[in-house]
Amino acid sequence: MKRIAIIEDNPDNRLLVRAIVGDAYELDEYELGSDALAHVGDDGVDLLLVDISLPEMDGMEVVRRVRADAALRHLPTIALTAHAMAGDRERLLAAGFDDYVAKPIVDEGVLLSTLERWLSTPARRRPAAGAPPAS
Amino acid sequence: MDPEALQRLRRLGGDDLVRRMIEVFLEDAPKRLVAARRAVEMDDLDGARRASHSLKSAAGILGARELQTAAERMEAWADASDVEQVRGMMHELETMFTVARAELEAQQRRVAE
Repeated sequence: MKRIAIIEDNPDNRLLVRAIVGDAYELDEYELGSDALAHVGDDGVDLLLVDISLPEMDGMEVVRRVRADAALRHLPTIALTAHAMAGDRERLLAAGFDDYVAKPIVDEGVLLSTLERWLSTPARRRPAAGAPPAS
Repeated sequence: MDPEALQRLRRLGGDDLVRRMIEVFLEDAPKRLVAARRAVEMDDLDGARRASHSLKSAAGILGARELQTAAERMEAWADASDVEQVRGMMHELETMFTVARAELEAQQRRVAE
């Protein structure tokens, strides 16, 4: 079974995502980005769901670290954001996110189809930081 | 309160999910309010922004629209670095939480019956 890690400090949001995901995927919950980053590499996680507004290390910093880590670089990483406004999409993608889901999650189908899409996509080949572009 | 929000949760996970969501909210939200109050007293705009952002999000899930709006306004003033306006929102935020809590507790009693 595919395994998802969610980094979200709001317990209601974690509970909601768990209810939506149900038995479809395994779900690991983290409140802090630093805890998640310390574990996801060893735990065989297939996808990261990251809240943007986190205490200590925010979601933008989490995704930067994921992309800078050779072992995690290819992990599909999806932002959970309440700031779903024009221009945010580009900002999130530029920071390294693959996709985003707007909060509050009012339509569980949107979350499920986003998860399914990224979990069924072969890992994207990301160039190592500083490596020459593939020819 | 927006009844549609709770109905949506009920469709998703039945009365059990509704009960647990309210339970988690009633446990977590007071901590966010304390954090917001403390941040306001220390002119800590970032702390006020984070606390109000969390409240906005949690209130939104449960359909506590007035609390959501109050939290959203506080967050906007914190984003705008307006300490006076953030401070001015604190009372409204606490009042709207009290209203939301009463309604959610009543909801819990209905679910329990």
